[in-house]
Amino acid sequence: MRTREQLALLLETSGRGSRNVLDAAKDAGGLRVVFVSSVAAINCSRTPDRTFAEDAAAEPLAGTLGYSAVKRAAEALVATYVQACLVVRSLCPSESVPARKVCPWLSSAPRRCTAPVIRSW
Amino acid sequence: MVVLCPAEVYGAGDTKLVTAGNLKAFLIDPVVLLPRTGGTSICAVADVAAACISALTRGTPGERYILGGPNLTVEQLARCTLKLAGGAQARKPILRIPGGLLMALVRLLTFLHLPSPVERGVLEFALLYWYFDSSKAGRELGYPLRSAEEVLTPVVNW
Repeated sequence: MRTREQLALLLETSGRGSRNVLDAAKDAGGLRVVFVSSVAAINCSRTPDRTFAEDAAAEPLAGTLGYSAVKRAAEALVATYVQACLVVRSLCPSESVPARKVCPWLSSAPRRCTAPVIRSW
Repeated sequence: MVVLCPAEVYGAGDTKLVTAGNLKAFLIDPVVLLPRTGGTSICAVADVAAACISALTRGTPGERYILGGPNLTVEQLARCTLKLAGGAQARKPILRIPGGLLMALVRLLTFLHLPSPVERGVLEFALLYWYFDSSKAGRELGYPLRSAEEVLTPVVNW
């Protein structure tokens, strides 16, 4: 993946594919989602003296690499779903109440959760 | 929702040579040419698959898990592969080239529309160190921490 067009295509494919799966999981309800990302989304180093864990702060170096940028974008997308779903779950204990009625600000984002979102979580 | 972050995944049956292509090049080339810098964490495809299943029931929602393994320099990866192949392979010469020189060569080949032995994007990755700690996945998902030999043997034999 070298050209700007190829990178854009990769970003689009990864983003749309992830969104499709996450939306389907929400719509189905009660599903657990395991999102397979990559260590490329975490961090890297120019020297061999650093080992990264899950909570490593993102640094610009990895972000300059196309694949890393795509994976980071996908994880950011996942985070928005997790955040939205967790909020909806805590605010909307009734399974029959649409999220937007209780959390109108959620409607500003595309395809926000309707309660219950992922009940088993 | 659980996020899994596999490192460089190796396994038999990699028919498209996504990662096995690296090892194949080590074994086929008469002299192994490597950048002086760069390293990666390697893991076995079967362990990653098992971790995906384990994450469904044992993963903590909202958590991220690294699925890595031994952290090796590119040279260590090559030497381990050649050693596992055995025989004359184990004595094959390895030539380490400065990363900047390699990058310049690849850029030149690309500019001239000539075939390059490695994509520029791949080389950018290979010159860096991707070292990770998978102990969290080990504790919470039962993800095994294997040696480089255990990870690479199935691929070399394949």
